[in-house]
Amino acid sequence: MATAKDFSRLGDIEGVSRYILVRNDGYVVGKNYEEAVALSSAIVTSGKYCDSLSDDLGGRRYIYCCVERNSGDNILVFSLGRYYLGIIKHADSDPQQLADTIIGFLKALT
Amino acid sequence: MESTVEYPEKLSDIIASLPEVSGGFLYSPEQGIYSNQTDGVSDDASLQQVSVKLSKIVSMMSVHFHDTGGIRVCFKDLILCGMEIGDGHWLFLLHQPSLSPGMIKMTVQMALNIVPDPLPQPELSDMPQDEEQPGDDANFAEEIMGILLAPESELKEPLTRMENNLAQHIGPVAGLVFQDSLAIWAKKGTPSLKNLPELIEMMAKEIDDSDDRKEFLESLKSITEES
Repeated sequence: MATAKDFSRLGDIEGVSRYILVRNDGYVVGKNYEEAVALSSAIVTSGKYCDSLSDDLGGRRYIYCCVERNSGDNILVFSLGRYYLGIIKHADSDPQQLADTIIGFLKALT
Repeated sequence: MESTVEYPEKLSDIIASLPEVSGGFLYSPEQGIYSNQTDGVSDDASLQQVSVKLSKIVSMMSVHFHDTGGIRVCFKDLILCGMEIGDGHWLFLLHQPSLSPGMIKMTVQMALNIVPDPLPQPELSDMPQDEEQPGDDANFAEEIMGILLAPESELKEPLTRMENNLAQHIGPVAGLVFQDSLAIWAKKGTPSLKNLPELIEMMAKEIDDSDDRKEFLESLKSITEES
């Protein structure tokens, strides 16, 4: 079973610059980002909004959302039940490839 | 930049020029959904909800990061991407995953005569930082786990059972919930066999399904009764 320590390995994934694991009440469970607390509510709200898109789009469930930045350091948000995972990617990494790697990592935790 | 009245026509042009794009819509806070070219994927009211949510996400993120652009939401076989095209107007496209974000951006910019933003300077918060240590809370959670689950601990057996039972109901995040709940529980008072029912209640609240929750509580009844 996964613990916060297992999630700390996210920081070792190529293409991941920062990660933030937040509980749905905003409590930061794991991170390698100094400003995680300031970002946590945006991650949770983004995740909750995306979860609810399913109702608006005929039952489609989202896999992840990506907020793009001009710098290329995009922010990816994944829903993990009562937790939300925010990833800030390296500018030079491919977002889709990175998302696939993250999904593989999360599946391996099961 | 194009006049806003031309946006619906430009959206049609963009959809026509990119075969991987199956549809799109336009939104502004004042007008709501003023062009729905999704071929019946969703009605205007639902698309308005989508637009409000996604524009809010970008707005929230822009408080922290000052160079946010668009947003993409990836579904199994479809991507919904959105970008602000000026004066609070948003353009959304539904497309296949094979279409690259760069191609979309370029096509939209060309269609709407948008001058690309210059690359910003890195923000201080984005600069590489010295090696970071996990937060105090994470350290505490790990320490308390180590102590309470040590072989000599009288709590090891019931706690292990609780974690395993929790995993049967909430799956892979059970370990996380367990560690998290254990830390909160330990902070509230002295962890002891007597206080275990409180921890069980905390974990039960993490189980959404009422039948599962009941089953979880039932499976740990012996612990509760012994306490």
